[in-house]
Amino acid sequence: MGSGMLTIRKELSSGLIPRAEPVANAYFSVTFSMETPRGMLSDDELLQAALDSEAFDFWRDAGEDVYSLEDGEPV
Amino acid sequence: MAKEQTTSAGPTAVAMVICDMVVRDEQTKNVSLIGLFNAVTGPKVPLRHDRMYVFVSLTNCHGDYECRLQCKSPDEEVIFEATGKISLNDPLAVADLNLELRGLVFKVPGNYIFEFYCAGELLTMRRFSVIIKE
Repeated sequence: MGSGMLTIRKELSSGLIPRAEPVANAYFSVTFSMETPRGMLSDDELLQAALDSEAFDFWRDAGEDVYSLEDGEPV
Repeated sequence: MAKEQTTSAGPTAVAMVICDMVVRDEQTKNVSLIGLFNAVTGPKVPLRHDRMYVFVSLTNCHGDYECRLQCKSPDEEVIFEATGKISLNDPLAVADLNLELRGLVFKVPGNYIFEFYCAGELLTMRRFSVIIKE
């Protein structure tokens, strides 16, 4: 095992592993949306339904505004 | 210095990963794969998986290639198929394909498989399981 480690170090230091030019990269990104089965909501539809409901109305309570622009110090 | 060797055999796949999320940094263009998995669990079938990503990296590309991603059920039925064309003229370059699948439905539990074809040839595949846990 020890000799194996030495061999690897030797190859690396003597430059046997070629250094190629920087590898170019191409990026392709595609989204496929399957039809939602009847009676089921997608994540986006669930989120929209929650936003349209009264579920998040509590954020409008004045008591939720515990910070103001005067709090803290500028960085 | 030795020259990097490539074959003329056409595209080869260097990676195929199934994961929960793919994040690409705007500044460095580096890609992070989050939540790699080999199994999907749910309470019952049909099981609808809201969002999953199949990430495929290709190299040795020189020209235009017709690509196809298929997902096959345990009984070999194709439950999803997508085709598209990629163009790349640098055999040393790497083409990263980020395929986001929304709302894939698994009707039965068992071992599924993603197969990726390029120019009609099967380049790589990845198995994953659908497990029902009540």
